Formats: sequence, structure tokens, C-alpha cells
Amino acid sequence: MSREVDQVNQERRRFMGVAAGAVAGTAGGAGVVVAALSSGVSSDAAAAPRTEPVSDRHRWGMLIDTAKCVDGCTACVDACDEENGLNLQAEPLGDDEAKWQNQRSAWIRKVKVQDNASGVVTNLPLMCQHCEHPPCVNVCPTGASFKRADGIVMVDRHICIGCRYCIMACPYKARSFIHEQVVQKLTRAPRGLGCVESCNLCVHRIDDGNPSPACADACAAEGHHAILFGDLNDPSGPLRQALGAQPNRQIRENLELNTGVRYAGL
Amino acid sequence: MTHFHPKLRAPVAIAPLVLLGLLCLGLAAAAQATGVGDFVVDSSRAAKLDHCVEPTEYMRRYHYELIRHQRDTTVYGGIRSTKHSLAGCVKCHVGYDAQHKPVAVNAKHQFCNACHSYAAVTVNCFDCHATVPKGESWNQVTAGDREALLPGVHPQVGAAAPAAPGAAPESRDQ
Ligand code: HEC
Ligand code: HEC
Ligand code: HEC
Repeated sequence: MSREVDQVNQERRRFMGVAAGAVAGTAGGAGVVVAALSSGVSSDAAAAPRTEPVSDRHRWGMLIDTAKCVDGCTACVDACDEENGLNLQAEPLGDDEAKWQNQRSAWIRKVKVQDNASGVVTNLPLMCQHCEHPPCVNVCPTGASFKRADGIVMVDRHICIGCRYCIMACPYKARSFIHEQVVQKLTRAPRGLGCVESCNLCVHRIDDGNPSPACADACAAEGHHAILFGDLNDPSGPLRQALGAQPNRQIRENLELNTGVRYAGL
Repeated sequence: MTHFHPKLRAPVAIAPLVLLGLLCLGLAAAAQATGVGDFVVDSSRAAKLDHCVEPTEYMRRYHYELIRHQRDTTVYGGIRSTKHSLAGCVKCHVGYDAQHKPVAVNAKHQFCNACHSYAAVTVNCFDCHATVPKGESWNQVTAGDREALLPGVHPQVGAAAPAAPGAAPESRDQ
């Protein structure tokens, strides 16, 4: 992505008054290193629950190596379902199965793309791409759809009114709407009728000081290691190292959203 | 009290009788459940402790302010471990049935419900929030529990351990 275009884009957004929050360091680019915050009371790297509000010191992201993503494997999706209570959703009685599969909330979708000319098939997990400039945030009428200081795009379901503009705005079809009353739920993943939700990079784990989402852990446990999670703001961290070592791109990079999730081998 | 208006003496004198009458009418529960701490469910953890996360009187009056503040602290600030978390209220105040199974904290006669229905308050929090402790994340476990869990439970950050710390308290609770 050209830096100039990015700048223009940001200017435009600012002009339109929709740019939310400070613009964090551009991943993969020159890398704005944000000076380490003063006190050091709660180093986020330490395995302890955080005691200070999140800051833009980190910007969380992932690199997905599609070459390592195995056809037919759903380890990441299953782990996500379990971690975030998505497997507890109950199909409404008498509902059409296909309709339900379409409607039930899913944070990760396994997608298969085929290049018709070469016949090459690529598998990849697609989830919220945690854009630096998220369209879902721009269109939200209540401010429920927001980007946390550390780059995680989320829905504050306490103020979400369920209008679903964000679902329409998302180029990645990453968001789900809860169509039914939810009976079974987990303490760590509240969920209820009438709100929109999507991947939050297992935010409860990150806040614990365990920055590793369930999908990445499950993929590694399967021996595939296709998902690498890390800090886009840390030039010497494993994620930035991996991004530098391997050609990779954003899905729909033409939209200039500067996604936090990148794909290699695509 | 010694300064009653003479005219009030008579009613005051019969008050105990009236109260007795109410008791006989079976309204005892409602009349009694106004004492501090009376809504605490006997089978809950809270029943074994002598104070809430803040002075009980304060909790009775302002608990919703605390929870609401906590809500934004968590959702926007990522701070989940504090004593005002809703997950914490549920964990400590949830009652257990004879089979030691937790009973939904908002079920009839249970902690959050008994008082709210008495005070004619309705909350929608439990449309989304779990009503029994189930699948708490590591940080949502109260401090005492956490200390017990600490040794060996938390692997090196970044280590791709399948048994992630988040799973530890969960396996205990499920
Ligand atoms: C560690 C256990 C614990 C936690 C966590 C806890 N409480 Fe309590 N709570 C208690 C105890 C014990 C009492 C009774 C104190 C007394 O008898 O004076 C109590 C009393 C109360 C009361 C007064 C009840 C009455 O009948 O007067 C309210 C209201 C209350 N808690 C609300 C909450 C809320 C809301 C939360 C979450 C923010 C919460 N509590 C978290 C232990 C706890
Ligand atoms: C539409 C669903 C929904 C409703 C209704 C809802 N919440 Fe939440 N709440 C959530 C979600 C989702 C989270 C977790 C956000 C996260 O993990 O980042 C949350 C988190 C919280 C937290 C921080 C986590 C914790 O356990 O302390 C508090 C406090 C909270 N909510 C309070 C409330 C209160 C009080 C009400 C009722 C007045 C309420 N919520 C109603 C969805 C809901
Ligand atoms: C001792 C009585 C009592 C108990 C026990 C109690 N509440 Fe309340 N609660 C009230 C009262 C009274 C109000 C209304 C306060 C007001 O509006 O001034 C209220 C209001 C609330 C509100 C705000 C509702 C709104 O519409 O703004 C929330 C949220 C809430 N309570 C949560 C809880 C939870 C969760 C529990 C159980 C852990 C609980 N309460 C237990 C008495 C109680």
C-alpha cells in the first residue's frame, strides 16, 4: 500500500469527522515505535491480568500462512466456538438447517478460493480483520462498534441496537447477528438476542496477559502453525519478523483499511 | 424515642400487635427481608462471608453504579479483574441446590431477583450474562482462587500450549 494514499485517506477521514481515536503505527511500514509507557506497573507481557487501561502501545494482529492451512481442517473454528460459547447456540425448533447454518453466529469462516485459470485451491480462515480504519465503526449510529486502543475492533453490546449497518459495511462478512434468545452462555462470553458480534481476538485472554487466541493455539496443537498472533507495533516481535520474512498481503487491500490480519501465500 | 406526640402514642402501642398480625398473615418474608444482608442466599459463598466487596449498605444503594462503571472499564479499558465485575457478583452470590448445582442468580427467590422484584426493578443484564459461574476466563476468578491456581498453571507467554490458562478455571467449573 502506498503511504501517500494512506495519508490522503486519513486526511479525508479526519475531514469527514469519522476517524475515531489516534492513528496507531502503520504495520509493516516504517513502524512507528511508541515509546514504552511510563510506570511499568503492569507490563502486558507479564502473565497477569491487566490493571491499567489498554493503550496503543500494542496493536494486535495475525499472520495467516495459507500454505499451512489444511483443507477440511476446522480446528480453529471449533476452538473459537468453544472458547467463545458459540457452540452453545441452539437451533430454533423446526428451523431449516441451511437457514440456521447461515444465521448462527460464527466468528471464523473457513474459506476456499480457487484460481480458475491455474486450478490452485487455497484454504484460509476468515475472521474480523481488525482494520485500522474499520468501516463497521464508521457506519455505527450509536458508537457501539468501536476500535479499542490496542487495535481490536469490537462491539459494545450494551449500546448496540442491532441495526446491522456494520454487517452491511464489512467487506469480509465477518460479523454475525444474534437472531434468537440465548439460553446457554459462558461467563467470559456474554451474548444475547438482538446484537451484532464478531471475532475480538479472544480479548479476555489478551487482558489476562495471555496474548494468544484460541484459534492460533488450536492450529498449533494440530501441528499446522498456520496462524501467528502478535503485536504489529513491536518491530522485533515474532509477528513483525514473520511479516518481514514472507510476502504477505491484506485481503481487499484496495480498500486501504490497513487490516491487522495479514495473509501469506495468497 | 421519647418525644412522641401524645396522639401518636396509641398507634405506636398497637404497632407490635399489627406486626404480629402481619406475621400471622404470612407476610413475614417480605417484612423481614429488609434487613441488611437478608437477601443473601444461604447456600451461596456470600453467606459464609461477612461483607460484600464494598460496605453492604453502600452496595444496597449503589451496586448498579459500580457495575455500570465496571462495564465500561472492562469493555473499553480491558480491565476485568476488579472486585466490581458482574462475573464476580454472580460467582459469590449464586446459590446452590441440594445437588450442589448452582441456581441461576436471577431466578425467582435468588439473590438478584428476590430484591429486584421486591423493589420492582427489572434488569436485562442476564439476557446476555451468564447467571451461574460457567466458563469464566482466568481473570474473572476471584483473587483467592487465582492464588491457588497460580503455580504451574500459567505457561510462558507465547508458548502455544493447548491447555491455555483460560481453560484452567473453566474445566473446574464445568
Ligand atoms: C466475595 C463475595 C462477594 C462478591 C464478589 C460480591 N458480594 Fe455482595 N455481598 C457479599 C456478602 C457476604 C454480603 C452480605 C453482607 C452483610 O451481611 O452485611 C453481600 C451483600 C450484598 C448486597 C446487600 C444484600 C442485602 O440483602 O442487603 C448487595 C446488593 C450485593 N451484595 C450486591 C453485590 C453486587 C452487585 C456484586 C458485584 C459487583 C457483589 N455483591 C459482589 C459478598 C459478595
Ligand atoms: C446484549 C448483551 C448484553 C447485555 C444485555 C448486557 N451485557 Fe454486559 N457485557 C456484554 C458483553 C458481550 C460483555 C463482554 C465484553 C468483553 O468481553 O469485552 C459484557 C461485559 C460486561 C461487564 C464486564 C465484565 C464483567 O463480568 O464484569 C459488566 C460489568 C457488564 N457487562 C455489565 C452489564 C450490566 C449491569 C448489564 C445490565 C444492565 C449488562 N451488562 C447487560 C453483553 C451484554
Ligand atoms: C438489596 C436489594 C438488591 C439486591 C440484592 C440486588 N439489587 Fe440491583 N437494584 C436494587 C434496587 C433498589 C435498584 C434500583 C436502584 C435505583 O434505581 O435507584 C437496583 C438496580 C439495579 C441495576 C440498574 C437497573 C437499571 O435499570 O438501571 C442493576 C444493573 C442491578 N440492580 C444489578 C443487580 C445485580 C446483578 C444483582 C445481583 C448480584 C443485584 N442487582 C442485587 C436492589 C437490589
